[in-house]
Amino acid sequence: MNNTIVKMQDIKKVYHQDSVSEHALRGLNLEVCAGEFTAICGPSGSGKTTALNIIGALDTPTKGIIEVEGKNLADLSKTELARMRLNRIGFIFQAYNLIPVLSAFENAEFVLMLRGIPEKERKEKVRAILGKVGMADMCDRRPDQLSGGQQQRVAIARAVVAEPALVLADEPTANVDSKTADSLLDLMERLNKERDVTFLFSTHDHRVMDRAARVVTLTDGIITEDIRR
Amino acid sequence: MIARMAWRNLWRNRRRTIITLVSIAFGFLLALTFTSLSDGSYGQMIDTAARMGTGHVTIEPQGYRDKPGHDLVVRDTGQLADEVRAMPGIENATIRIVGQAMAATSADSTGAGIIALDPESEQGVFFLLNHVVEGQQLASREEKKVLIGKGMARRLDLNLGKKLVLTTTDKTGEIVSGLVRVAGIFSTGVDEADKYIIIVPIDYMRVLLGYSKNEATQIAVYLNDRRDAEEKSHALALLAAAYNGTALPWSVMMPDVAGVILMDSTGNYFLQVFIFLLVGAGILNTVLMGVMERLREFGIMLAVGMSPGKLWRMIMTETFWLAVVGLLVSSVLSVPVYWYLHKYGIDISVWLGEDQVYGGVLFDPLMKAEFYLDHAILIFSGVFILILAAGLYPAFLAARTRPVETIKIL
Repeated sequence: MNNTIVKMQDIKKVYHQDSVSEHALRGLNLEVCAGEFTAICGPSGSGKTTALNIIGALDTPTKGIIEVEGKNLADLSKTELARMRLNRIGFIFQAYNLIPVLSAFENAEFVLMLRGIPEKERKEKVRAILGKVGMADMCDRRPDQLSGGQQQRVAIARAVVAEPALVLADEPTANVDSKTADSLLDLMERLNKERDVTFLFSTHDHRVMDRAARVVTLTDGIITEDIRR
Repeated sequence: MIARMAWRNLWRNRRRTIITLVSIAFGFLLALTFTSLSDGSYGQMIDTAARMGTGHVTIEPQGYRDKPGHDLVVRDTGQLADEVRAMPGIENATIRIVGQAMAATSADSTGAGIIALDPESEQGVFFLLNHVVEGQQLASREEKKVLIGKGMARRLDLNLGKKLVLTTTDKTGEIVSGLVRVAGIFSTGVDEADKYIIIVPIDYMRVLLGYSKNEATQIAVYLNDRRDAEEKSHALALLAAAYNGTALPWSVMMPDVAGVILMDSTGNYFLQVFIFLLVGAGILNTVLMGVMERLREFGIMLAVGMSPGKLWRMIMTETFWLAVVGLLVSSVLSVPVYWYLHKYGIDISVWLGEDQVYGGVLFDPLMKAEFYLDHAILIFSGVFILILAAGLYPAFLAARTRPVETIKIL
């Protein structure tokens, strides 16, 4: 399918520690289309994290084929993988993980800077996205001067500012109160609709699952349920 | 942005950065102090040796090194000395006749080193003339009077005004003798000088040796900057060739002094390398700590698309800033220390006593620092490179970070 953005075919991942082998994924098959708002859920140890690591080109599968935008990640060099992460994938982390020495504005600007976008264009894009996530008046604040929700807004801005094809979000609402969680989900939903950004969440949060257009449930490394709404 | 991030990262743990800067400044200060005090001491030794002996550069007859004797002379020394004095970088040039003689009195006899000179032009130049402790200076170039050292006076049982016979060979190889009287007695504290040297008026010596008025065996050349000795000796050798002379730097004329300085400076060099290594290990430790505690952050940066090369550059830029600030702090702290050591020096006579002889040269126990730009640049760049080198391994480690292992998230 032309608009398939992620395609996982029989993905297996085995971790070896000492003499013990742990099977994190046992033949995962998943396709995600452009513009989807998908949540992967499941209990701890079900393989959500491993699946997102592999999709985000941060880890490699033991077996199987993973394609992002039609490219087999196994065929790409480390540099090409880094370039793909930079240009095509946005990341939102559970613990925000903003760069502490940079202001909110600079954190959002960071990815654009890495992409070599000219300064003027960069500034415009950052101003626009920070306005969109409701952080326009806190541009100069450093992460330690922001609340958890505000930091996550900046993290979302950083993830989408470069207009990636895919945003991978790990438990984005786990560390914020329910009101903030709702507003963050509103924000991501809006970005999904307005900018056609594909979101793929890993989550335990029912609020996320309730909002997701598709919920994929993982159990012991395989998909046990895949519901589209 | 990389430079800005690196600068801010430097100050994330202020206390640690300040401690690192202090250790850099300490290393730099130690290196600069050691070097400038050594340069000052070596300079003082070389100058003293030059003024005790044969100048920074010595013009002597060709072949004199292989077969020293009164039969070899430099011709037209007056004219040659004038030409030498006219050259740039030359402070003074004095004409001498040097050689060996037997000094005898009715009590005893001993071998002596003769330095025949013009008392007037050598005042303030020749070191021994400043150390006359009894009697008076030589009054003219012709008189039959000499200055002897305290050691020789004791050995030959000589007092002021007493007679002394000098026996040597003249220009043709014949044995000649001359009767002179003791005009003054000098005491330098250097046994070799006090027991051995006799200072004689140059024209009297010319007559005794059968030299013409402008013949001599040596021109002692004093330079504005002793470090030019090697270079100037080449130029002077070319000039002196027309007068049957050649020119040699002090390091060739006084190999003992050169050897002592070389030995001492080599020891200093190794000590400084050792200090640098200690300081480098400290810097490596702090930079490494700074990297290890930020691995998660590096993982995030790599995850969002920063290339390992850029991350490596960022850590190296942090190290670069550390070097820049470290050297700035070092320079600021070093200036007053250097100024004090240059102006007042360190008096080590408390430990060594007065009038120490080192390498056959009187060593001033008041050690003063001397600033050589090339040495300062060497230390400056050495510390700079050391700091950058200390950042290489941590930067390499940071660049090798595997995001999946450090962030444990996605």
